[in-house]
Amino acid sequence: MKLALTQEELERYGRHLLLPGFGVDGQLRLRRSSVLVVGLGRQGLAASLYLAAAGVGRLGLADPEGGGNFACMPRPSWGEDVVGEGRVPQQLRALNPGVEVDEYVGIDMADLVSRYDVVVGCVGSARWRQELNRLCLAGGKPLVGATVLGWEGQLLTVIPGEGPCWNCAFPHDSDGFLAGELGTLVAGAMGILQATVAIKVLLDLGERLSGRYLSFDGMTGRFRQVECRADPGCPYCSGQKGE
Amino acid sequence: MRYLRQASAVVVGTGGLGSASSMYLALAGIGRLGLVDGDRVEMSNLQRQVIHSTPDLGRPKVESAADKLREVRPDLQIDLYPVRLTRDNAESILGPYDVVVDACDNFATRYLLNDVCYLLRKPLSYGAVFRFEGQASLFFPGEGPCLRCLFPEPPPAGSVPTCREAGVFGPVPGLIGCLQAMDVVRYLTGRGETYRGRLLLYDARLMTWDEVVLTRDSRCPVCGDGPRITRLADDYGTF
Repeated sequence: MKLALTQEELERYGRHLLLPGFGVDGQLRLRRSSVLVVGLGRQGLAASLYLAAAGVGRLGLADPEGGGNFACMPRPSWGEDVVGEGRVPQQLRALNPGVEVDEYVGIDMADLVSRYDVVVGCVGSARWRQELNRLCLAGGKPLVGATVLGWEGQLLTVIPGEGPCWNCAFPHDSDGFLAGELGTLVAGAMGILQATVAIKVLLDLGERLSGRYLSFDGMTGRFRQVECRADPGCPYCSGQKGE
Repeated sequence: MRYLRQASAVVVGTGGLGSASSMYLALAGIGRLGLVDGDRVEMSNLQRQVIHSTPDLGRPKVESAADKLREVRPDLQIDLYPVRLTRDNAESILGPYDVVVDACDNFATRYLLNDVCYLLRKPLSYGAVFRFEGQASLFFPGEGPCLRCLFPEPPPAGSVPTCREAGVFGPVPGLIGCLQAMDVVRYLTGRGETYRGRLLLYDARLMTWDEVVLTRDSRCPVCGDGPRITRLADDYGTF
């Protein structure tokens, strides 16, 4: 592992190196970090692009719902191994060849979560959001989750052992859907925000949106932060409070 | 959707802001997009300008952007202007479009855009980023408020650092550009509320979005009651 940024990295990440709280140390830290993006629709694609652009060292991609617009080209089911020929990994590697990009098919999600520092959840179904919530809590991994309902977006970070989990905040979670032209754009915005927050979690840089979720209304362009509390009776996280 | 397909927008700048606004306007279904940028793709762009790729290094940015837009919208009418916007070409370049999107990175172009859009009665989607912060608003054709209601004159040359000098957090222009695209979609389809009359202030450290009410300043040099600026300046030169 190189101890310093290469000449090309100094150039590529130049706009980060002058940022207070970021700098060369932050960029190196990012390069040592890894993020798993689950869900490869419009939302997951946006998150992956901005994570790759920023220089996260390793990116894992998985699309368990198989419905992403950009999901893998058909390929043999090689079981749990890495396949890398889908369009999303190609696009990410072209943008930033320095990022190690692995796309997974049919792999055990618990195992996958264990291989990455942070999970970014961009899945559509409530079922998969709950599953990621459960797996990240069990695996002790931060989860930056977001969903789009129509033209409204919601984003919450779940830090295991700290504050509410996805189930505490959204006990009546329902399947996401995109409504109209704005829905697609809201999905993009939520993905970009998830990349933003994932980097902040990795670098411990300011507000991480744990214990308060972000609510966005695409019809008015307005954002709100909404406080949420851990539910003591939550079957997923009630055993994991700090105190 | 049918109305968006008949509409057009011109995005001035295909950097961090323009990468996102042009792509999301295309994805929303706009009929025609103009792209204005005189620069070529550089390595330091790729940290945030995700419409460009490493193989595009050295290419004119408008061409690189157009390729990616065509991939998602083969039917999109795209007009390329691989030039810097100036007071001499602004009216002819911007004239054919319904909306103008400010996705530039310097004060000279911002003020030129503001003035020419006011004079041409074009709505102008305003977006700006700096370090961890972003701003967005919609300046309304011929009615204000406009940029000069907020900042009547550009800052003295060298007094405000550029993104090159101060840095910018990569996903910030991505979000602002996406919000600009949404605002343009709301404006063109007449649905929802635009950012007209309010300035959105985003802080990516705090994850806050504050809004400041913007009203037309009666003393504004462009859209005020006794405007001082009634035609384009001879020189929007070096700010």
